[in-house]
Amino acid sequence: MTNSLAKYSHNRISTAKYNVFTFLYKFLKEQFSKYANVFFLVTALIQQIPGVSPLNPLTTILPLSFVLLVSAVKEIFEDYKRHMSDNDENNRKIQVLVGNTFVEKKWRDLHVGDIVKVENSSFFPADLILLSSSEPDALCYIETSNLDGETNLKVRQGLPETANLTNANAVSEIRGVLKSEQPNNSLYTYEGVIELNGKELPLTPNQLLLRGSQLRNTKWVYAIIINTGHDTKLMKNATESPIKQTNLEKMTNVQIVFLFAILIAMSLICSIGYFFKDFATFQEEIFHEKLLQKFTDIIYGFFTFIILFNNLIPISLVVTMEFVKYGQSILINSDIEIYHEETDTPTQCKTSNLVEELGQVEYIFSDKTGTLTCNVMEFKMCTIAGKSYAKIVTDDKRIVKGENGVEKGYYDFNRLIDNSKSDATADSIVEFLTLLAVCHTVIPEQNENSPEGYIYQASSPDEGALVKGAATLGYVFTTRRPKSVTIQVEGQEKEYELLNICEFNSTRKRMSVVVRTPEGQIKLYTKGADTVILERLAGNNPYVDHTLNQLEEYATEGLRTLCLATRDIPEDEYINWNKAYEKAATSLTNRAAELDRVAESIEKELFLLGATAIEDKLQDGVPDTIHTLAQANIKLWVLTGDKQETAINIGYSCKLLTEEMSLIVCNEETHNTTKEFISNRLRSLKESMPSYISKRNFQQQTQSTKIKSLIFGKKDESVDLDDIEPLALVIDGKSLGYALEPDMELMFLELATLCRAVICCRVSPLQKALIVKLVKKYTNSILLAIGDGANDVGMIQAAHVGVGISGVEGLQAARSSDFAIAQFRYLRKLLLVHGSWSYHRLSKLILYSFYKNIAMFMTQFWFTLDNGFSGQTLYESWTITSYNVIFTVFSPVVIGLFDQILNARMLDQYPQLYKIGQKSEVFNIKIFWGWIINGFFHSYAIYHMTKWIWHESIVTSNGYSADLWMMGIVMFTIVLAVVLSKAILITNNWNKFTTYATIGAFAAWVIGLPIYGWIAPKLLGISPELIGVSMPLYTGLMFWVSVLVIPVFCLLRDYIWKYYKRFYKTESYHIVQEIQKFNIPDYRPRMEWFRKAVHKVRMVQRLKRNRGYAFSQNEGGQARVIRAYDTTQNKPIG
Amino acid sequence: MANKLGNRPADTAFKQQRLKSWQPLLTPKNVIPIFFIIGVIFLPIGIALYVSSESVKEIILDYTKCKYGGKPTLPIAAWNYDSQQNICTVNFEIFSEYKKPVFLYYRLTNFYQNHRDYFKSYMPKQLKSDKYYKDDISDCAPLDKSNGKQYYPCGLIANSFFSDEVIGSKLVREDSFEYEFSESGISWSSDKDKYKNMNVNQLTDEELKNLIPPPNWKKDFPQYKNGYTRENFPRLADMERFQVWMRVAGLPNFRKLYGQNKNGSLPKGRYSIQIIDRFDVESFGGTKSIIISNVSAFGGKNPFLGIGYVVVGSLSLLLGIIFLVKNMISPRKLGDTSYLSYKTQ
Repeated sequence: MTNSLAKYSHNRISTAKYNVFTFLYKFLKEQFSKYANVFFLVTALIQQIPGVSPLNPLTTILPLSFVLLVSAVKEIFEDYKRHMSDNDENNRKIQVLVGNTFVEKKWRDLHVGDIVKVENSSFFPADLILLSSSEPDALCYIETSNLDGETNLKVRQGLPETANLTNANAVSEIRGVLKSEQPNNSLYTYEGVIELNGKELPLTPNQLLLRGSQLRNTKWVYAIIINTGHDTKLMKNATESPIKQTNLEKMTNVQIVFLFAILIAMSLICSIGYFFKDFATFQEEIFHEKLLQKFTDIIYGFFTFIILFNNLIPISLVVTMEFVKYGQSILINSDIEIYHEETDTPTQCKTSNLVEELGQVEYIFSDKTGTLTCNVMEFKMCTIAGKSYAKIVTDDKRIVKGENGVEKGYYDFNRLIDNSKSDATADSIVEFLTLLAVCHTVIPEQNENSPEGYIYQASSPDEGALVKGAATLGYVFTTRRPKSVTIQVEGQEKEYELLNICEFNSTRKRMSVVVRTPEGQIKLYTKGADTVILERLAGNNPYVDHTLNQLEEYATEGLRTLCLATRDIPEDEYINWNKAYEKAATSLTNRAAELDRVAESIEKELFLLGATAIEDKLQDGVPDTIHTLAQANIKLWVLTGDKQETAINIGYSCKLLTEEMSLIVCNEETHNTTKEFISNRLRSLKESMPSYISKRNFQQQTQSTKIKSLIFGKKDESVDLDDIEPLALVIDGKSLGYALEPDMELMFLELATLCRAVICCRVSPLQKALIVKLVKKYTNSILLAIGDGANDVGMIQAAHVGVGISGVEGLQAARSSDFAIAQFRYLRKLLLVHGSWSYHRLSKLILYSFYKNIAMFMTQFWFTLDNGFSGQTLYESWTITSYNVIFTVFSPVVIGLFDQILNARMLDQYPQLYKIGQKSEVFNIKIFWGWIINGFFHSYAIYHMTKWIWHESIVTSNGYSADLWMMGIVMFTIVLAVVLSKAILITNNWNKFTTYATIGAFAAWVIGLPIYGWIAPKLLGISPELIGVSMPLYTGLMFWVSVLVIPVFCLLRDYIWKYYKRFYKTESYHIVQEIQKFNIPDYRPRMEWFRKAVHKVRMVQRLKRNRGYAFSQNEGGQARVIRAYDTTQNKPIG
Repeated sequence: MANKLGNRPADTAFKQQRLKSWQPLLTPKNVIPIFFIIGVIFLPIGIALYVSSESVKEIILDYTKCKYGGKPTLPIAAWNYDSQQNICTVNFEIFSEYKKPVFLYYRLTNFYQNHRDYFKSYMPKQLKSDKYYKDDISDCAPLDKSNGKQYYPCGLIANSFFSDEVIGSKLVREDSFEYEFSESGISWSSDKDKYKNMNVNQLTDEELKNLIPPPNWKKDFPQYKNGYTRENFPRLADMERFQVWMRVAGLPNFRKLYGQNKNGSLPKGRYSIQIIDRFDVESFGGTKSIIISNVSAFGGKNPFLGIGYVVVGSLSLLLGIIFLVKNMISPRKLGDTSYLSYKTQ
């Protein structure tokens, strides 16, 4: 098969933002979409008009260029990393057929029409059509969790015509033409035709292996490439990752607009003042002639003032913020406590822009499999014939003899093996274990590395765990043939003839096999949900009560349970039944329903053997993390593709659901019933709730309400869930589909936000994203989505903050996420510690940056009132520039990088402090304008006090009076002292960098001034204004005395207020800061633990409702697959 | 193994954010003492500053309205005006001796030397050139050139040079004792480098003809009535009063040094001073005065500084007392956990 046409795209993929050619355009476009940058550009341009600028024409353009340069370097650096990760993927190796041998090539060098050999557990490099595999009939298993999030293995099968091409020679002989559909993004459809030996054969999704999915349980496959690179369905599905802007940034932008309005107003006032003042006061005498005659001069004057005051908006803010965020992200990346040693994976901040949102999260949307759980099942406990066994028996569960001689507690599995030989219940145990080893759809594969000698390939991990469990208990499943299975018990092989298989599906909730035992007896083995098994039991079943008790106990621990039952079937009954079965199996219409009906007729009069309990292994620390996050007032919604039972199960095991919670389970089939269900529940809930909650009103976030909330701060619509009964909502995918429709979405949201936990089961990837978007649309809360698979990408991109689980290969979510962590539990430190730090740091940085510029540049405004509105500057141009670029740039950076409101341990210990960020208590409109007003106050006080002291007095002991520049320098020094002291005042955590940035910066100014004033005019020819100013100043005492008293006066207010707040308007964080500082022991957490213990006792007394049935299994078709296998046959080596 | 954990972050205090640090917390134990310390330090400084400022002797003689006659206000005892020669004679009394050095200032009000259009109208290079300055002097606009002739010195600042003159730069006591102020040493040492005297002899006749005095100079100074000659050409490097004028004041009310006497103290007595009245301040609603003052270590008379310290100091003391009392009445235990809310599950 050849493909000479080169019109197909190459197999390289690129997820990078820029390339060499587009960089400049895209970068500038992005930068100048920020108001601030446009403003500064315009200012810089105005400054170039001769005569307009009171300052040196370069004083805006240079800092702006610097700011842009720094951003550019950062962008290039971040994009470089994307290029590198693309390269990693593009350079992966794959075997490609060349001539009649397979040669290793890089992914990037693949072309449409190449035949590749993909080996077990590796990813498909492109979209492929399956030709043949190591398994019979060209079967293979694939895992598509990266595409759709379903963790069940799926079966793909090549065409029978190509199935025999099982070695390189054979496959190299293939000649024909493959016609494929146009590349598209539909994951579930495919149309194509392959022409082989003159015969046209249709191709279906059943032969399709998509890029992004993984070959599983299959040694190798041969396949032919049909789509490459960006033509693959995976890449066609990729949406460009959205640019996310944080709330803090949005609010800052809006406030900048307001400040800009103030600036315009000030400039207008001054330019009008200029116009009139000139006529009124300024005599021709001094100006010789009227300078100002035309009205257009007002415009000129206006521009002059814009330039003079433009620094009210801190030019360096954007770049400082970006720099600090980048620095913070590096610090997060290098946190060793959120580094996963086993997989050598550190936490990665991919979008450093979003760090502070980590401190404001209110809702977490979490995927289940791979995020909360490891997707590893373990056979943990069982009960057989009234006796309970556990793999590991903890001390409090050991067997104790009760008063009436009845044994209570658990035996361990060793005792189980012993009992199977000698105990009174030995027969049942044998049956139980045989059932586990026989009744399933697992395929064994010999493997020396595995302790049992076999690897079990199961499309359902539950089944795999059960078969493996049976094997460890001595019932080893060894061989599967189309018509029989063989198990090994104590070295003896036993072959069971597989007569019939009644498949598992979600309505039957059970699976049965009819086997003929080696002894020739016909037996029915059934495993399934407790409800369906119990109603099919024979009259006198001795173990029902005990088994039910056990089931409840398992369920409270979040284990998945199955009941096991059996029946001996008389030969004649079987013969009759088999006829009916054969008939149903060959019926042309409604075959599945017919089969179900027939199965029903034999699954009766069962004898209950016992039950199994499987643990869906949680990731480390998940329950603890969920509990802590709940204390931090973060609501967790689990969105999973699993079935309802499984999901509830996990909910309990990870402590998301607790026994005290009332579950609202919504499992409706139609639009109307769903609506009725939700509205009824909502109404009855509202009746019992405090009125402030029930009167809550969700509003769609239209453009105008969004802006309103940015201007006036966010409305607090969050509910204190402590005020209402604990609730949890469990909703099925189908009902959810209806609930998300426009007429119901508000009701649904209202109901869901009243619940402490929400579990959505069987949701599609699209629904995951829709839920996130729904909450985003109607609330102002910050949302975080966490997941591991490609099916989570939509939700990760929709949420404010997307977190991906990284560390295991091929996890798509991590690539499109903003943060990648190795374990769910790392969220705890990421949010509570790093998030809080970032939020507090950045809030302070922004507030302080505005404050410092206002405190400084408003003095220019006050001065303008004293110089006839002429736009004269008080400070020398380069001094002004140095203010923003040198002397006050480090203190916000140090606060932004190093300040810690509390240390990591305290933030972790007191999760309730997280609410500060959630409620935006550090940065909101009130506080922002508070700081701005404080800046105005400081500038006013500084200007006027300096003026009183300096205005016309003799300032040195040799009789000199001060000139304008001298006054400017004094004022500048005082402003610097005030502003840097303010930085000290807001520092919570003083380290050496704080010293450098504050005291150091002030010293640098005082020492640097005379040096600069001496060198710069002489060598560079700039700043002639500074010549000779510093000597008279420094030698006169006046200067030093003024620099001491004015800042103390200004900051007295701040100091008193800070102290007053701590002692007379005390908040939690004040107390915790004191606990940290003075190492005060806090017994409260322990008391809380005590409270919980009491609570637990109560909890046990409550009615137990759940018996924990859960099972994940593909629906239908398993019988066909397993009947195709004969594991005694050697597989082709390929 | 080490290789395997290549991504493991370094366990350093910096990267793990455990840098040695100090938590500055405001507690009564440090805040209240700080208030008292500020009070205790600032109050005496304030008083000392105030006393020192009061020890400075200063007399301000506003002669704006001298030409209209009428009764002068104190401290001017009497004045009379020679309207022929525009000479104002001011009589005043020095009640106690002024310790040396004694300085003579003139003070202008409502004169916006800090007006931007005024401020930028000068040409440093012209001032520093000892040859005819050929390059562009448009910085001096609107007073750069007139009919192709160059103003020397050009610009608004130079043009508006204070033209009143204290005759003999001296005070004369009733008993004819004369106390003279010298012009030398009154400009900042750094300013001296900014001016050079024109090398008049090197100027060609044409160049000389091309340099004309600013309009006000021509009007106010009799010696420049007919323009410059080699004899009357201004020697900027020696004109320290001009240099002081050129160092522009920051606010519309300002004083500038006119002369100094470092040699002897000014004895008490009744003095008179004669001023040639040329400089028009009334057109812009200003005033002009003569000030005689001596200095302390902190410079001239300046009560504000002392007041500032006293205010801050006593405010601090007051706050210290308020917070001390408040803390005694309703103390709050540090780290009191009952303030923490434990409202969760």
